[in-house]
Amino acid sequence: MLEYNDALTIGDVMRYIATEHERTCVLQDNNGKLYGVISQGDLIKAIWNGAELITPINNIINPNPIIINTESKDPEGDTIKLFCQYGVLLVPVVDNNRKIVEVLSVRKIISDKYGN
Amino acid sequence: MKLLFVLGSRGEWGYIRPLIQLAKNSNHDVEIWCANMSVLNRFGKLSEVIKQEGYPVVGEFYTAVDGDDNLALAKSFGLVSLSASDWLMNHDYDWIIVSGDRVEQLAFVVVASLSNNAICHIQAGERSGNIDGKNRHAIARYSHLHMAANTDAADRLIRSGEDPDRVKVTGAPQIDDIVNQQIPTLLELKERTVVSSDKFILSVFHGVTEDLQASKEGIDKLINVLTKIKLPVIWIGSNNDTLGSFIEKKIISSLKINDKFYSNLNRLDYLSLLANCEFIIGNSSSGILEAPTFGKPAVNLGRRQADRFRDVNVIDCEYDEADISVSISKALSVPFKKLCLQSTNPYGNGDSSRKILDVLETTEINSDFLIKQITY
Repeated sequence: MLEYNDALTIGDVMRYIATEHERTCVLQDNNGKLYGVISQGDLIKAIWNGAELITPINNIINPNPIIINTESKDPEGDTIKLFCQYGVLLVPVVDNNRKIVEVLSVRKIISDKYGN
Repeated sequence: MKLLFVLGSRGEWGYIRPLIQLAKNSNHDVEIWCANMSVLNRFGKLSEVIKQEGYPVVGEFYTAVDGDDNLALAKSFGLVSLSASDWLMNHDYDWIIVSGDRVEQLAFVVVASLSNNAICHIQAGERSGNIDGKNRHAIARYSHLHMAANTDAADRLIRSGEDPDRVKVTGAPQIDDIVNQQIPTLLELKERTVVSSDKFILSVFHGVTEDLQASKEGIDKLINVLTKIKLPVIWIGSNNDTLGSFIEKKIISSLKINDKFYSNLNRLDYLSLLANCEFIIGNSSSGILEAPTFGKPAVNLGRRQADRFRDVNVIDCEYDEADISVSISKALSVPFKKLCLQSTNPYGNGDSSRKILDVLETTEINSDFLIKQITY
């Protein structure tokens, strides 16, 4: 997870995605609330449209990502369902005020179950 | 006829799209000249979107200047003038068609007038409560034909010195769009996760250039009130003008689990949100112009839409938390909802484009027509 600020650039998010080995970057604000997500696809689209590494990320953040409420009885099962429906690989679990409690990863759920 | 339409923002696209479609269908030669927000990726690059939909975009110009103050808009005025001058030096039209009240429309109309083109202004003569109102009436001085949405606007144009023969009451073409378009159902919006609940509030808030401080406080107050209400809120982001990014950050940080924020939403999805919301709140003209078609209450904040001709659906209120709360209660009350459903839209019933095109087709452009006298 990255904390959102005005100065974050596309290059910062690329570096994060490259080092964290997840294909999506979840952004929180300085109160731990979900601010949005940026996927690898969003970055590719931005570059295709002429953005550079130093371009600020403001315009490519998706502020309405797929999320799971903390009230979910089976967050991991829901994550897999959302992956099947929308192809999302990381799903933030948030309370009613969009405070992030955890971020579930499809890769981790599957490897916990089937990996060695 | 050869027609040039000037496009700067998605709001104007709502005004002119039905007319462009009709003009195309009537075998007129239509061209669209795009500048400002309409060519920016940040706002969904409307010029590209409409090109893909088959509309004839002939020029795309970067004229927006980044910066959160009024001088950025002033500089943008200059860039539109430069680009428009070069364009009109090399292209001839029967009609230049401008719409609404934004600064790029004014800049273009000044250039078109200096180069002796016939100019038609759509959505002419209305009042709006800030710099946009000045722009709209300045555009009128340069225009040869004024398409007024209602008699209130037409009377104002005539009182301000425009020849009554040049003023036509046609309704607002953006209403044609609403009446005649197939808009997505709520179910479709839910399937695409545009909304996540059946009942919601639609909130559209723009920074007001003339009153930065009130806008900054206003968004805080609106957020404070809306976060206390149980209904989810679908927020539509601000334009590329003053305060845009400031407001955006405030809104995103205030979102609750079923709320959404869109800085750019396609027109049909927007109309569906308007058709399905409990009420619309904020300072967008949509609450006044478009909400009556769907019989929806509109809570209108502050001065941005001050004095714009309005239907019974509009509840005006100040940037004051208590006032906003009371207005919301009224908007949600059953008798008020009923009243809104029974009213008709004073901005027209869906045949404006036809009326405008009829006027353009039957107006003879000669030297008498191009030499315009103010009547006072």
